[in-house]
Amino acid sequence: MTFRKITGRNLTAIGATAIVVLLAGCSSAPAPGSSSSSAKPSGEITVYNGQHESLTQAWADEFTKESSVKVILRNGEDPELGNQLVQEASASPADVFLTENSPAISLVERAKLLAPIDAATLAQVPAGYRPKSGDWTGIAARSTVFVYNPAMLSAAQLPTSLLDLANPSWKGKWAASPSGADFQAIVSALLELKGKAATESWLSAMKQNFVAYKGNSTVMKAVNAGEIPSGVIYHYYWFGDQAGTGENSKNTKMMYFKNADPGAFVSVSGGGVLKTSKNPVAAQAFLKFITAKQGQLILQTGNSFEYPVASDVAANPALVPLTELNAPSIDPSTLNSTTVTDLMTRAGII
Amino acid sequence: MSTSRIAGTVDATAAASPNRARRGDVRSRAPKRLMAAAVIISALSSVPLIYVAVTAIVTGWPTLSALIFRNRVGELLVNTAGLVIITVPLTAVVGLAAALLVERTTLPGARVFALLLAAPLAIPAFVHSYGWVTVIPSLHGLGSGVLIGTLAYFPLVYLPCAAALRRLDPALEEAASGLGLRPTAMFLRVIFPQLRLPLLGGSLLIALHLLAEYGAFALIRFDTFTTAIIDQYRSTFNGPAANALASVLVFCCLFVLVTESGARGRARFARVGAGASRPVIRRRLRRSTPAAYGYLVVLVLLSTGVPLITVVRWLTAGGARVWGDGQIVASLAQTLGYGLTGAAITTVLALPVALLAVRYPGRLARILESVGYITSSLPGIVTALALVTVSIRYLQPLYQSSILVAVAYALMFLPRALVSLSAGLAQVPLGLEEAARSLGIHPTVAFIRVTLRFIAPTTLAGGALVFLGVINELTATLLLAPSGTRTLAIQFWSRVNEIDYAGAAPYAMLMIVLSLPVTYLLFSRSRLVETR
Amino acid sequence: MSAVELDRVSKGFGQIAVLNAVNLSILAGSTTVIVGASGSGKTTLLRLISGFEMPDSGTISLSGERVAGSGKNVPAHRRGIGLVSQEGSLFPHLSVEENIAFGMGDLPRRNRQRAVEELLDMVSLERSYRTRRPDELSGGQQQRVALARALARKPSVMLLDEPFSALDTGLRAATRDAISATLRQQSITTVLVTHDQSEALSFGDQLAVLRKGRLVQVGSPRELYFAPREVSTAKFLGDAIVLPATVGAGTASCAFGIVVVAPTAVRGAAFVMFRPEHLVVKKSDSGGSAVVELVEFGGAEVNITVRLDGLHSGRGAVVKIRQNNDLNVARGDRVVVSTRQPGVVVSPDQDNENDQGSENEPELATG
Repeated sequence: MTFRKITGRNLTAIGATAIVVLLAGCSSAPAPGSSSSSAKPSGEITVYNGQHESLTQAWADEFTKESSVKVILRNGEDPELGNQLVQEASASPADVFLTENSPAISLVERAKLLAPIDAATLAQVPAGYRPKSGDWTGIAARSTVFVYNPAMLSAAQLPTSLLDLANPSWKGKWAASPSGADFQAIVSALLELKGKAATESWLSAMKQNFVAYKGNSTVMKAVNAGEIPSGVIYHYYWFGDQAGTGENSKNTKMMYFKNADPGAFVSVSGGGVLKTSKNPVAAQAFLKFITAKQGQLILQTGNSFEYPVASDVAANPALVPLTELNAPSIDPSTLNSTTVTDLMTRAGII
Repeated sequence: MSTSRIAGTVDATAAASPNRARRGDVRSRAPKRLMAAAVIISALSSVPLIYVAVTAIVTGWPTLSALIFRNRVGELLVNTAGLVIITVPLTAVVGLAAALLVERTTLPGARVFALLLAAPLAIPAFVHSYGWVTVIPSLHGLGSGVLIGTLAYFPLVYLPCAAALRRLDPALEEAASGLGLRPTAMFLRVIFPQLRLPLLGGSLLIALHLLAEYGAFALIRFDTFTTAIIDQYRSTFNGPAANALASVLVFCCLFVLVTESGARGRARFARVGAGASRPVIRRRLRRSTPAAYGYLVVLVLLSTGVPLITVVRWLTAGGARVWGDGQIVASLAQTLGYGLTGAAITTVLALPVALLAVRYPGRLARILESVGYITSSLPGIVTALALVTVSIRYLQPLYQSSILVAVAYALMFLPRALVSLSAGLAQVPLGLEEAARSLGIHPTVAFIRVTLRFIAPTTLAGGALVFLGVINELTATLLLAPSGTRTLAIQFWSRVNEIDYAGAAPYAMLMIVLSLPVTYLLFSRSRLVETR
Repeated sequence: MSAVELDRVSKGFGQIAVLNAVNLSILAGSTTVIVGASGSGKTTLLRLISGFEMPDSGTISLSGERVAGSGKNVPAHRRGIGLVSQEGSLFPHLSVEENIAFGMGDLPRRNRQRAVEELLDMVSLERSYRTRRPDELSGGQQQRVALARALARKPSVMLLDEPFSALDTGLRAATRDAISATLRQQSITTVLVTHDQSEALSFGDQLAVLRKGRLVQVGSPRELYFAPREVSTAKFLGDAIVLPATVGAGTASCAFGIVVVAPTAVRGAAFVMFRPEHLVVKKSDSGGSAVVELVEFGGAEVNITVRLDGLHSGRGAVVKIRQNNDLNVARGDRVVVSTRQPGVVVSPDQDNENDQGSENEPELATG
């Protein structure tokens, strides 16, 4: 036997450290929050975060600095976390749910798991960016864009509508990230605007035409590298990369569909407080913070390049203003994620 | 998930030295408490299997068949089967050729290559993929899957084959050449048949790894059942489609297990004797020396060089920024914590099963053992889905707790500890413990003072292998860990997903650094047998 | 009072019966040897006494106290037995002193050392061995340390499980004598399990023969050697010439002709046994009843294989007879074989209905 070299003492020491680390993780159970809305937020909250980790982390850091509430993020995809909340139901450890797109939070709302948002928070958000129910609120927005490689696709060849991509001429020419919430939200807009039958046939044409990538960044990177001529993504991936080194977007251009086309869909990111939150005061305070000027300024000045929607904060000057995008008007709370996943599963896309 | 289950193969050969059976030949029944403990642990082990079966039944055949018999599943089946069918024989050839060159030729520097060829095991498969995608961004599809699979996993064949080659009795070959066998015939008729078990064992591990791997294939846009299950999971949490795919995947794993056990026949372990007393016969390569060198150098460059150089390149490109985000230390501590607790819990859970298997062998022990093996051959995502559902519905306090993650690790890596523990236990004469009891020492105390003391080295080795598995684990950790958990693998993956390859590099580097000692341990164990 | 009492003890593993209604009584202070071929159940018997196994039925008492059976099961560590096994089972990671003191509990260091030294004296080992490791001792020394370790707890019964079988021939006798002397000196009830017949005959006051889970005969070594009841016992305890015979009153008819036999109740078809040392081979020029087929020179003794005509009984036989080397016969000589002691009538084995034929066929005897 040759394993004597690992001395017992060393291992015990490492083991002890490990257990301390783990115990430290376990012991920080959420402090019981008081339900009075006038109470000062304290303790900690768990956020199920479908939004970009870096954006939510920026909100959380700022919020913690201001309120000393500790924010724990559980990162995942919108539909994953939405369905998870539905399954966890009353036993959910989550206090706040933040999404990139509205379908997932609507799912949770329909399961009656969300608490009404504080009136003061709702007052900060224009009615167009939140459901009438007041059970959740928009926190940011993003627009669908068509990203393409001008070396492979001339201006004349560009599609005029998202629906064009179903034509056989587009076979093998466009990419998307179908397993992501973003693209599924776009499909849900299509479903809302054109109905089930049209969506179904569009999806089966898409199955023939498109090339699947994992993640919008990857789609853009592939278009940039000339692997594929074009892709359907959200706008901020392009701006984010351009603001950095541009190495994944420098060979690409962006096109907005406009004309109230399904492809001009502007998706509202949502935020809600769980009914079962053990710290509703801090949870409500977090949403209020995000939709307040301070939180929205992070959208304007940070590197997320998502659109602010509340407290009259303007978008990052690099972006085309939301009002000029001529997006189709869709009530965000009507978007249905379950049907979309079913349709996409049936089409063999996921 | 991405690293070796080679523990099985290597230790199985180590365990070939038979336990000194108790004189009196017949075995008594196991103590009730030991049996109860082993049964409970195996019942726990069978949770994922039961979950898949129950979900399938509850979902009902009409829904299930609609979810299974569709084009998408057909595509996945073609991809997954293609991957396994092409990669497994390829790794067998690549690994066996490397083992032959290193162990049976007089190639100078063979010892260095012997070590370098094991090194890919220290690199998680998704880091292999990350390296290759950096070099060739357009990599995708089956061919790329085969490339990554082969380079990441060939050591799982190479190591056991090399170990077996070192222990073949030269007398056999001398006898064969006395009978006039030429070298080629000698290899085919004498050497190759003796390598059947290590080849099969290694191939089994590779097939299971290929079935279970997520990150490596997601990065090159190659869809297998596992990546598709995770896509479904992302879209629906644990919806019926994810579970339907999981049941097909479980079926694939069982198919692989049955195929291997059929091919292996009745031989349980490589019976290669106590080790050759004389050094093995090495062939002198003359004109083919440059070709042999070329092969080994290219193999090492592709398998270890590409990922390692890429990581270093990204680290250089990222500069100080990538180390400075303040999360690295926390993530490292968390990973170490999970690794060590996972290893400890897995070892503790493996102990009763190993005791039963070694001291009271019989049908029950075999069944309990095989439950552990089957479960561990399931992809982490299946185990994780099962535990998520079971804990949400029935064990709320455990949901999203560190304990549940540790349980998942135990289910996934139990055989690593089991194999090492059994090998260790088999070496401890039962008489020692009984001697202590006859001296008035309580049986439990006797076990601790005598047996535990003796199996400490093998136990640590088994624990180290579990540790290796845990620190590279991605999917189960993502699903089960408490909110806020960010292990090295999670951090690496979230950065890669945002195409922050430079930001991911430190995490890749740390995973490799943590894996190196265990890989070395594995390597030295596989060579250890020679001197026993 | 008996130190060990087994009453109808049976034990099986799964379908296989290992011990079958064994009764055995061992007097305090005496030495009993249990002898049997491998697989006869002797180790199981010892493990039942020591408490490592539970009897399926029957009871075991130690010094009058019930320790197993009838709902009682005193675990091994509370039976106050001492155990020395074949391989000694010394803890290889501990020194001789630590081994011997393993079961002593906490003692001040000086007391412990003194106790250990006394025990080393007792087993005739030098005190300086105290600090050695087991692998620095010879096999015989290891066994003596194992004995000292077992003696340390002043056991009421010492169980020796083939403790000498792993030792070289020379060492075996010396170790056996040393251990035997120590145990007698301490008047410790001893049970030795062995498959070695010479050890069985020389070591104990009482000898018990175990075959296929059955105690076939218990008695003094002398009694068992000279008057075995069954064929296998006869052959197991020493060279035996066993011939099929027809037994009458005081005589039996066999290949030797009509021979006198020791008093027996058996009549009719049976076997008659002779110990080779009781046979006398004489060269006969006047046409003896046997022909020498082979002479093997073996130093002090010669083995002579002779073919008996079997004229009187109608049964010829070939037997091998050990004689002193002063006998001068050659192949082909005619000889007369006579016996100095009456033959002993032995029964066929009681247990092996299935393979009776081969087992009971006298060695080298043709019918």
